[in-house]
Amino acid sequence: MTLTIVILLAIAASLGVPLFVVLGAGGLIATRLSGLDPAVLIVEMMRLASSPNLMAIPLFTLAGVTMSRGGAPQRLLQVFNAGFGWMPGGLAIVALVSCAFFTAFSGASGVTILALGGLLYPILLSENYTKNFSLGLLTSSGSLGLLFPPSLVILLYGTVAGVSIEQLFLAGFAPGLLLLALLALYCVATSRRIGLTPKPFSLPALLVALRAGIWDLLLPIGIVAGLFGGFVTATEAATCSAAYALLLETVMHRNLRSFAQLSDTLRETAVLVGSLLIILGVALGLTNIMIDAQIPMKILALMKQDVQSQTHFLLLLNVFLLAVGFVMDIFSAIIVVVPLILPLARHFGVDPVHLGIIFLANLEIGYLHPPIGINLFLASQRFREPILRLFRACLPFLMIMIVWLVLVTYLPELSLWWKKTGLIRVF
Amino acid sequence: MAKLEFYLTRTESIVAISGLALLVLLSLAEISARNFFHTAIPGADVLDRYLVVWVSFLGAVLAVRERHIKIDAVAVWLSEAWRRRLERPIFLFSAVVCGALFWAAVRFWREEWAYAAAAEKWITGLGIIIPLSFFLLAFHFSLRFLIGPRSANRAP
Repeated sequence: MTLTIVILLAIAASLGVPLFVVLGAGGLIATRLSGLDPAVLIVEMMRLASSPNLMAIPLFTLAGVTMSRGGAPQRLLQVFNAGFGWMPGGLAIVALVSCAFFTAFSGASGVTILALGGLLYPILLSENYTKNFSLGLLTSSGSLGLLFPPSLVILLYGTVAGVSIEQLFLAGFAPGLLLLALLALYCVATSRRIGLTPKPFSLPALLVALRAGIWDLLLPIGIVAGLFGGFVTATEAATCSAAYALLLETVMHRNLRSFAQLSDTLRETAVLVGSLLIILGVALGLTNIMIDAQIPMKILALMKQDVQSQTHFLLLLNVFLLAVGFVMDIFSAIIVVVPLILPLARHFGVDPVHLGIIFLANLEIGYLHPPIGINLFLASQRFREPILRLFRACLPFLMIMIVWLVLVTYLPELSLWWKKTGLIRVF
Repeated sequence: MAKLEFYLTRTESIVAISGLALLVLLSLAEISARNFFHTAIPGADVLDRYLVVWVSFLGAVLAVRERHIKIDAVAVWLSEAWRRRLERPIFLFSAVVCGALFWAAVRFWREEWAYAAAAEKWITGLGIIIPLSFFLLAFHFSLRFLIGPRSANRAP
């Protein structure tokens, strides 16, 4: 009976019923089956109003939407181009860094490919990078930067799993940089192989670009310094970022001057945040029913029969999460899957902060997988190329990301190095 | 009917936008009060948290006309014609589920309101957004069911 309902709901979801409706229907049916009052779903939903960290989500999103509408991607691109363009593989590295930067801000909703991909693609081609390499690079860059502050997926994971957001930001930093470094090496090797000559470095060009983009650059730097220095909490950082971004785009750059532009920005933020948090609200009720029904414990009992070691568990986790990435986007996966695997991970001695990084790393790769790798769809829309061709173009990048995933999963020190230093005292 | 939807959406937008603007201002005021005057604004943290819920739930209502997050693993491979054929049943199903959640929320909220202490009535009052937004969600999904899908080449 339960299985039939789950399958029916999964079919409904796969046909395009909004996720919160599917989860809401699941919650209603589950309360009915267990003889509970459906009002328990609402009791759980009200927990949204008692979570103090939740405020960071709309405020960071507002900062991201404001920057993106105010032309920050273009300004940052110019700064990075002047700063890194002279290196071998320079332009490709510029693409990587700008995309990572921008994804951290825009919340990984795929806006990066739309905003930056279209700008970078013709430039890459004009500098004689091959079509396949350029497409692969831009499609896979669309989800880089997920692990850098103030990434929305980290905020969401922290809220769902009840883990300190500051610790997660700290933990994601080194793995995020490592992925950038690995991909940058591949770009350098490729540009050598194609035989591209780097262009000369120009200080005046860098200064001009910096003059326009320095204020945009200061925001992420300020967030990282403020958070890691222990000067501000995540919510305070979010408030300051939103206020700073608004000030920057309305007063300094004056790209969002009219009242209509400003209210559009606020409205877009509300819709983005709303479509996300309503899923979280509805899921809180359903998760609670599942935990009451001891479902995670039952899975654990099953797993204990076959899985003895942490390494074995992590391997299964990777395979499972890659499979999740086949059918779910990262936001849905965090809300639906994290409450189920958190108790399992705890049993096998995986740190919840490390689990978060593994989780996000896996799902980041899911962005590039058919059938619903969002990046593939957006890129196919943007560059007017068939999905399978894009997937093939992404393959080398995907391989590098899988190597990176193995490193992130089996070397917990990469994410948790700071626990041994004094930094932990700050949080 | 499309006109009704338009005006309703406009009102919801205005409330959501004002809520978000107020959230930014209020949280800025709190940080200043804490750091410069070493005091807290009474009730501000509760108001902050409810503003987040107001903005998000109204945002979710607005998302009915734009785009809700879906796991449409199968639907993305269907033809445009089939996808459009599926839209009305999906809207109807969503309206029914939101209606049921609305009913649960109303009963919950009325009970809360009846038992809330006088000093906390305003907090319970703010909680009305949950039943209200499920009502609006059910209403918008029903309207969409009647009006039918929006044209495929609309502006995002």
